[in-house]
Amino acid sequence: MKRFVFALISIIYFFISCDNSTKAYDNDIEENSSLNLVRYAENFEIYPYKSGYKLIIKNLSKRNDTEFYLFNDSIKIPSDLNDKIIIRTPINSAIAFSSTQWAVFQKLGELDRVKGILESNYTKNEEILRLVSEGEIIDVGMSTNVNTEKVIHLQPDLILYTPYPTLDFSDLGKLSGSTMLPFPDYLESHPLGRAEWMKVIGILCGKENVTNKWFSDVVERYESLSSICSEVEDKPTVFSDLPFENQWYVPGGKSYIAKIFNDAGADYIWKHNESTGSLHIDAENVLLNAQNADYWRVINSYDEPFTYERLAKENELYPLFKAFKEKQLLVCDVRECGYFEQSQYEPDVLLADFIYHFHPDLLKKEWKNYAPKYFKKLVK
Amino acid sequence: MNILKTRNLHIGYKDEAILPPINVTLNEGDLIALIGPNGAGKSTLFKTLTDHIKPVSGSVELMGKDLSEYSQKEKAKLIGLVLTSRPDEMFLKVRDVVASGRSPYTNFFGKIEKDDEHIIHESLEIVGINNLIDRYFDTLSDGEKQKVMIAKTIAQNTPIIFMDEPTAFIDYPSKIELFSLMKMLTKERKKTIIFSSHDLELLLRYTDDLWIISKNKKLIQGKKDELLNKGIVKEYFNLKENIVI
Amino acid sequence: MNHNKLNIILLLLIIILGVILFFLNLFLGSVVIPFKELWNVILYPESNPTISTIVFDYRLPQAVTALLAGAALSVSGLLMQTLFRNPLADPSMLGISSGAGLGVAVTILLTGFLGGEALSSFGLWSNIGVSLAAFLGATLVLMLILGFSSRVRNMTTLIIIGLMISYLAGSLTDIMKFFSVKEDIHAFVIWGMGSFSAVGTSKLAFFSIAISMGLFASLFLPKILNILLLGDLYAENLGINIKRSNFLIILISGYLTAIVTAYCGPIAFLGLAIPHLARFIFRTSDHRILIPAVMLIGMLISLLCNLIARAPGFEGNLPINAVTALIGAPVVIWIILRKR
Repeated sequence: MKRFVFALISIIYFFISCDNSTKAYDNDIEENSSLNLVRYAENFEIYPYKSGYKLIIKNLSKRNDTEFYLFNDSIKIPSDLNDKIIIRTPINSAIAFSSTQWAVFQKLGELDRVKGILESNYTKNEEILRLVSEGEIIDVGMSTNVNTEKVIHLQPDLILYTPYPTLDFSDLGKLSGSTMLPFPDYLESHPLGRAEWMKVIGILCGKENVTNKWFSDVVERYESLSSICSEVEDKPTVFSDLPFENQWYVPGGKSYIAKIFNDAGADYIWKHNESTGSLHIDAENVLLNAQNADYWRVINSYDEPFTYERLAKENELYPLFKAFKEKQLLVCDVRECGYFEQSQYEPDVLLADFIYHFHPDLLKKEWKNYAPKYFKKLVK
Repeated sequence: MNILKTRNLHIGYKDEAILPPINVTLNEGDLIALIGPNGAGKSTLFKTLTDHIKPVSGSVELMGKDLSEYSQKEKAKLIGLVLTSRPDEMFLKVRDVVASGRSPYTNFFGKIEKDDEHIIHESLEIVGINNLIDRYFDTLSDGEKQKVMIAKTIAQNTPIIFMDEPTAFIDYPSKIELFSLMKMLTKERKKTIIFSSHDLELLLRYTDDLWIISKNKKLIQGKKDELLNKGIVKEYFNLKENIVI
Repeated sequence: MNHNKLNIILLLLIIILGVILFFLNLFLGSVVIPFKELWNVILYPESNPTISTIVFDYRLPQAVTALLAGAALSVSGLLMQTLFRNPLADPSMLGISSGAGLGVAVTILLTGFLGGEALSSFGLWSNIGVSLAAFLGATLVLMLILGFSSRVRNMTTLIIIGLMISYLAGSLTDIMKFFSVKEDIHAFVIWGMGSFSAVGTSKLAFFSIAISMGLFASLFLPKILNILLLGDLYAENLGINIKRSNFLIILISGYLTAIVTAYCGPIAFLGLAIPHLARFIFRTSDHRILIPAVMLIGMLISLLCNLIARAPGFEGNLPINAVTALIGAPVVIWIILRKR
């Protein structure tokens, strides 16, 4: 009986997934859809187009996708693209709303193309802070309250923004005359999918060869690491995050971080949940499900380092958790490691971090003397 | 001439009459005091006669026509009202209050024409408060406020005026002034005034006719002397001896 | 007559100040534009396209929005204060702003439920999105209140009903927010802070026409309002149909509040403070003077608030609501203390 149900579900799933793939975009690209240069990310596609590229960014609604045509400065634009959005590469000036965007520019050594960013007070990145204080990069406000005047004044070629369902940036583009490029990297639920967004910045800087190489190296390392954990029997349990203003939000079971836990040979407490976003769970249920978890992943964005003593004072529920009692908190201190801007492009490193804690004996060969970069065990 | 006439009028709220049927008549130039203890239904009677609440049954006839047949605007030109409640707006001027008495006659925007201006001044003069015209209503004494409200009603130029306890909360000299003003309005200007009051001695001195009601008892209409002689006033107010004026 | 002359001088003074503030609104902002440059751009817009965009496409619509919203909220507040004969009445009194908030919260929740369905993907509505939701919510509450107003004659009852509707909408809003995704609540928070910049050039024409219609309608109310000052019974005796006039006043006041709230968020305090300021300056309760007066003073103060909110130094725009109360509250206290 069980087998029958499973078969049925598989068939249904097959049909659903087929349906999905044919619906998205049917006519003009169908013939060369095999040429999609994107392998893991689900929210953008890149196709070679007449000595340039065609970039498709999925709209949040999964309908009306936005198409961009990118051509190097030296190339004449094909005449059939009159009414299309065209971006000349490498771009001269951009505003990057998210740190995950400027981080790639920085890594490529192309930060001089970034003229404006948001929320500079939240980053610890020294180079960015220096450029902002020198006036090379202008802080244009917060994502929820962008300083329109400053954006118009900067007049960048391109505004890379993070689309949210309820935020409308269309006026910003109209007023500044800049091309608005949505960058919904946060929607990717596969760690390699998120990392793959570096390719978009690569093309924008005319350095797609560099990002392509980086990405294939990341894929190679990630896959070799996850393969060594695929066979493990003894999986530790893990849960994630501290409450925010007494509300517990935890990553969904199909989220990016849940996938990394799984690939690192661990059982995520909410792995059966279907959400790719964050879940709102009341404290009782967190206790019920996660009290006996072996590990607790925590990000520290405060100015002070964590200690068990300090955390216990902050919330009297914390000491009730097994991971807390046994000092198995895996903490990433964002002041030290640039977690928010860089880690998504190094999923292999994140994975190695967790394997180091969950299954230290499995790290062999070149990983033998590995020291975790982001997540370190909190000892005191 | 009959100004107002009621036929088997039952007054009350929600289909429940609080008094036996009322049959009274008001004539031009009448000055009538409505007396009776609190809660007897004086306010209810006033509100019914001025069409603020509907009669339970029976009818009220105003100038020979049923009250309900008049439009709101027409009624505003026939019935004037002086109430115990007063406006308490900070920057309301005496002028503005009296001018509002002209609103049944002014255009859609309430423009005060020359004629209206004249009537406003005249009304203030009748009441004897010309000097207060530019004062803020808020800064007046209770007696002065009452006079302003009466001036407003005079400006409204209605044949019949209802006054709800006009002499309450004002000092004795002002009371006398008010009574003689009412008397003058009825005798010289041929207004019909009906007012309620608890100032028994004063009202007996100034009025000719009385309407007496008491809780659940019949409303009695009659000449002052007649009612006094019959001992009805004494009976209604449970007085030990008769009132002599 | 002397008084009339004084009033005209005062009105002229307010208009002149308003014009000055209007130009200051074009002149000052987070991007510093030298006066010469500004003048050049006003005369020859092509001379510097960037500056011209900032001045004409960003600051100008914002100043016009501030002007109209200020006038609308002030008139709306005056109508409420006269209707309820309560100096603390303001446009939010009848729960209309809370209704707008509920509309926004429902939209945010729905967009969350539809799997990250972006508001902007609704095509035609892309520009309107949040505004439309807010307007629908406000209109719903307005209809409810109008329904009650034609049944209830007692103003206190109506105030209590309005207050309760306000609480109900507020609590439904909180429930909606509880079920919403954390990121989406941002949109609600932004809307709740109030801003004159959301209208923009594209919606300015519609906003201006809608507000002007409401303001124009209010010019027909002075007679009714003046009589209402005497109290309901006197008003009725003077030929006013109370239920009909209540309906009319609530309709116009609610309409103005709904439009402003939909586009600019729930802007606090202007509606409460401006009528007091107008009465104090013109020392009258005559609505033939007060209505134009609150419109002009409302425009003036609103432009001032907008100017302060965008002043250089407040990087990334201070929320308007932070400024309105900052200016409004001391003004009201000062007036009330000086009255006697």
